Amino acid sequence: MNPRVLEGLGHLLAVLAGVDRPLTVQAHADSLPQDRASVLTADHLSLPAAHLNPDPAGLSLLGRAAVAHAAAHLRHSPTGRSSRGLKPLGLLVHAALEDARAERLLCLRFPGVRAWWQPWLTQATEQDLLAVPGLMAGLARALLDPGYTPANPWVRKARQGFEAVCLQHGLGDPAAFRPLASVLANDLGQMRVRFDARQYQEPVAYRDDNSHLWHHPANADAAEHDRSVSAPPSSSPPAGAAPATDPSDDVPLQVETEVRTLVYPEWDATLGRLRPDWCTVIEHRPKPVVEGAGVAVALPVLRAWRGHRLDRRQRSSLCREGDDFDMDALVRVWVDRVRQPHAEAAVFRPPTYASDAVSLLVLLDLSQSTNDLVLGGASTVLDLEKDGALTLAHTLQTASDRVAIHGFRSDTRHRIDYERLLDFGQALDGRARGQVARAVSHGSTRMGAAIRHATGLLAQEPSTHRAVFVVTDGAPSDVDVFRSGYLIDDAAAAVHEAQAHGVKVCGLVLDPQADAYSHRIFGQRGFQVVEQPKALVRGMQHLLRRLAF
Amino acid sequence: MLDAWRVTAQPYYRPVAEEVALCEKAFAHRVPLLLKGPTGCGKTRFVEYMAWKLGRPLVTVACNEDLSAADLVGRYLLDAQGTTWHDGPLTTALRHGAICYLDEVVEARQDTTVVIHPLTDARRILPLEKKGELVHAHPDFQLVVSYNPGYQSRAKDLKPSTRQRFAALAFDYPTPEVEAEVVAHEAGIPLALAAQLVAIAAGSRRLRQRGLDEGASTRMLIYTGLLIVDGVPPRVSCEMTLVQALTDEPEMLAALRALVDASLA
Repeated sequence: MNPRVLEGLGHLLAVLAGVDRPLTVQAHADSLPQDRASVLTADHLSLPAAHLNPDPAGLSLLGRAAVAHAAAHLRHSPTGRSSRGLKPLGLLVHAALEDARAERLLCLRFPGVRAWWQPWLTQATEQDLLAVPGLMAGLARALLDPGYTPANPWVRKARQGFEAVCLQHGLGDPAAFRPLASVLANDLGQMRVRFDARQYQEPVAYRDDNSHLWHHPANADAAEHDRSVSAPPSSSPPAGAAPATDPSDDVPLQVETEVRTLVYPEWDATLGRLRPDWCTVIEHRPKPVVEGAGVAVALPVLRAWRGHRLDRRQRSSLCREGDDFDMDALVRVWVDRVRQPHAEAAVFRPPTYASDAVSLLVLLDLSQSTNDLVLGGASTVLDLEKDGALTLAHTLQTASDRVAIHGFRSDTRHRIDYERLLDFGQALDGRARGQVARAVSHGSTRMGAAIRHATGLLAQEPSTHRAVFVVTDGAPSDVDVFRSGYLIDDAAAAVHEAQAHGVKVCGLVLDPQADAYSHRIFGQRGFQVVEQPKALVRGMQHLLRRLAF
Repeated sequence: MLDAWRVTAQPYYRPVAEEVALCEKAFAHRVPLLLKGPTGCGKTRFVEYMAWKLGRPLVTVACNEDLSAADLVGRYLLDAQGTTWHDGPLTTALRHGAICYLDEVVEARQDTTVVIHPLTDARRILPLEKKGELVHAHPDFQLVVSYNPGYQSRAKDLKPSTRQRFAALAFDYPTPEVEAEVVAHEAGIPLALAAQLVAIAAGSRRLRQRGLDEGASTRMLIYTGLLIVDGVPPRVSCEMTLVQALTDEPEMLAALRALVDASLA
């Protein structure tokens, strides 16, 4: 299952459904049987894995058919109609007519989707299913495919009835089709077809289970169905959430710290909105203390990363030699030469290359996993992160830009520790390097909250270019989150919010498997994977250049 | 005079609201105009239309960071006789009563745009310091500027002291029916096909909420139509002028391609 396919399908759903609220397409939760049909709610569409195999055009064919069908419902179908008084077979027939009505309406607006659905309508009838599934397959195809000639008399009757209602009332009114649905359901009852609602499988592969159409008053079956596709436990208190009593929380900083506590929201992709005041960030800022200088290791300086841009806002002074004339000076000198034949002629004005000021916040992942050794090396991931951060800081301070090094780790949403190891405007001297060297790692990686806090700190920076470099070794995760991808989506949302504030967020990911999640968080061009320690410097240069300061 | 800048043939412009009448009133009172709106929605075409309608020459300046005050106002140039003063486009328009249109005005440096300040108040004069001349505006002179508020980074913006000298008209993509008319006319395609293309553009503009920088502009749709008229299959034309032109992200490309496929019969 390719996360890119999910994202592309999400974009498609937003466009076809034409609604303003955010919509998400996701894969069925792992706990759900994978042959379960898709499920649609007001904010999201959950698809089985079979729908998500990508094809060369980029989107899965079955996936886009499913998305189009969902869009048809979102645009045209009323939800939550009471099922009181309707037997299971009646529910099925009513829903089937509604499927056809919504699909036909969507075809009026997007004529190309009919071709998307056709292969699966054909497949449904060619499976030669018996009893109710066979009848429903025939019904589905007969109502959408004018070229199909159904053999079954009930299906023919259904098609004639449907066209008659269309002629009389048009497609716009769902209620106009209910009398026909009741008649057809009654016919099925008279035919004494066997029907077991629990075993029934929708024969048309791209259609959803229509659970959104109905509201079942006090129906135990329906409640169970809803729960199995809902979001993971969100309000239940996570285990071990009580902060400050866990011995591993002993942060062994010997320096006194100023502590600030702030709350941030978190993005829940399943619900499609921010959970307000969800995460608690505890910011630690070391108080200035006089201490002996740490080991003064010569740090490398990255070169050739800054693009040379012509800066026309500044004009250099005139020179006697150069490539470009300054027209006004040339004329002036020419005129002056009448009076002073040997006057000095400074008529060239060289172009200026300047770059705007940069404020870079290097955000280090200080989670437990960074204690692991780097592949093929004797140092840990944390050491590598620190080296990278110090190199970046040294490079930028040499170029008189502003840089800060902060770190984060989390222990459930109630405690995200944020350490300001080096602040903007602070010199990278021995004491500062020691501060960075002393940072330890434990806990988890709740990236979104840390990015939001970093964005807030950068908002106060005066520079034109402001960016966060997240240096991490793996996907965001935390002990109180069970749904895979939840924190990845939250981190992606935090990056998006940062962009809206004019702050770029990029990732330096020390994980060979980074591609699976990094592009979702940082965007196609916003991250660099580093697999070996010696590739670190090159990776950072690459990323800095891509930021195009 | 300035015949080379006259708009001789009537440009096609489909009015959306009262903008033509409002513009005429602003011109009658010599109020400088600021046209703001997304790229490719008709601002420049509108100015051409007004120039034609009012029978005035139109002097257009495409603003960029390299534009200096002298480029607008004029400078001495050298020739066989010595030095001669040459008016810049702004001064030319001023002397001869043309419309001077500064397109994408925020692209120019702010120290360049301030030269227009004395023109935009009641005095309507332009001091040419290097020449020692004070030019008074011709009664028919009109200043119009345009910019795209959504596009520039925060570093490029109009100074408040400049902004406040203008009356502003907001432009946006027209309603689907009007936009289809425009595309059908300009590209020479049937109205039904134009309506389909407009629906695709509307879908792409919705994707701005999901990370696409800008949706398709009216101008892009005209390009699509022109290629279709020339025999390029519609899906291929859309791929070239809409899908690939708007983004490089694979997921977005896939979604746009599917949108095109869904929208065409």
